[in-house]
Amino acid sequence: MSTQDPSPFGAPIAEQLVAFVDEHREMLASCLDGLTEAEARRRLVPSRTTLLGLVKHATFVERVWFEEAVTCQPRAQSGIEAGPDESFELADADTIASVRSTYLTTCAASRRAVEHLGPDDVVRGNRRGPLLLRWVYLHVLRELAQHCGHADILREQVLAERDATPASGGER
Amino acid sequence: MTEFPEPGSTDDLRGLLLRYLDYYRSVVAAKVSGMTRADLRSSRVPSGWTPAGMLTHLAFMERRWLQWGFLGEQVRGPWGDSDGDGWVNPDEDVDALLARLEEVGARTREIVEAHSLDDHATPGGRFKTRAEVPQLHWILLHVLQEYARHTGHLDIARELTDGATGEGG
Repeated sequence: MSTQDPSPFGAPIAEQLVAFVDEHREMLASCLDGLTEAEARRRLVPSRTTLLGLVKHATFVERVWFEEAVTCQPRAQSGIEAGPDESFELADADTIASVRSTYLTTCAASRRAVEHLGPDDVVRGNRRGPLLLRWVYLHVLRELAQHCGHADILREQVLAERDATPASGGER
Repeated sequence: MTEFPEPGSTDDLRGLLLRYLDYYRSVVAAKVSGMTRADLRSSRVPSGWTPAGMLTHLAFMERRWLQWGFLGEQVRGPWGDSDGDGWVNPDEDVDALLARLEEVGARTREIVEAHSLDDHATPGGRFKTRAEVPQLHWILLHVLQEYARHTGHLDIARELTDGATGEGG
């Protein structure tokens, strides 16, 4: 549900937080829509950030906050990358379909992991110590929103580059 | 720079939202620090927005939601950040642009500290009827995601600037 709909205006803050996070999950996943594999991997900034890498990193964010923090199982045991830098790295086998599918599956698992918890419940598996779930939502919201901003610009550049390239592949 | 508001176990959500906004204002300030008027008025991206336009937009956006929207105050030129085709691109130096952002931010803090997160906006400004008014917490979440997203835009624009010119930032 979009947070711009009038309906969530009246909802309590706990529901608002979930709605805002869900909306940003969808927006981030959509940054890969309609791109070629090469475009999704295109490096347009000096850092390693790519659109495909951003969505891969967002999967890491979900697992850190809604898997490790909730289950308290150390990330090395559950196959979560050691840190954010590693989570941006692309493997040869990564494709738009595989990265997006993993992201969406992970988001669904995140929702299930906290469906029995309320916003004032405490999760204990993060290095920062015990955290109220609603604080986790707020933290994830601002992180996703900032990454959506990164994706906006990278996608804009990719699409502009496409418009500037002859459709024949440069043969003319 | 404002210290990053790490999540904690305190239940002061109102205070956390305010700290996040302060944090993003300080990140934005750091990203544009050292930019000349010419840098501020130049675009690095195909869509053509400029840092001067974004700083102006952020101040107007925050004012639209808190002063015009939540308090229902009559504000002059609420959409003054837009020229109909995008953001305006004012010829102001970085101090003037940041001063406006700080001024709006100080007013936001004053407003938020005087209200509860569950309070509804007052009709008469941005919102015409009681049926359409959001609560303060919706407004703050919305303004926070606007700041975070635009900071993401500025992150990349700054990276493009540095990569192209070698300037520090």
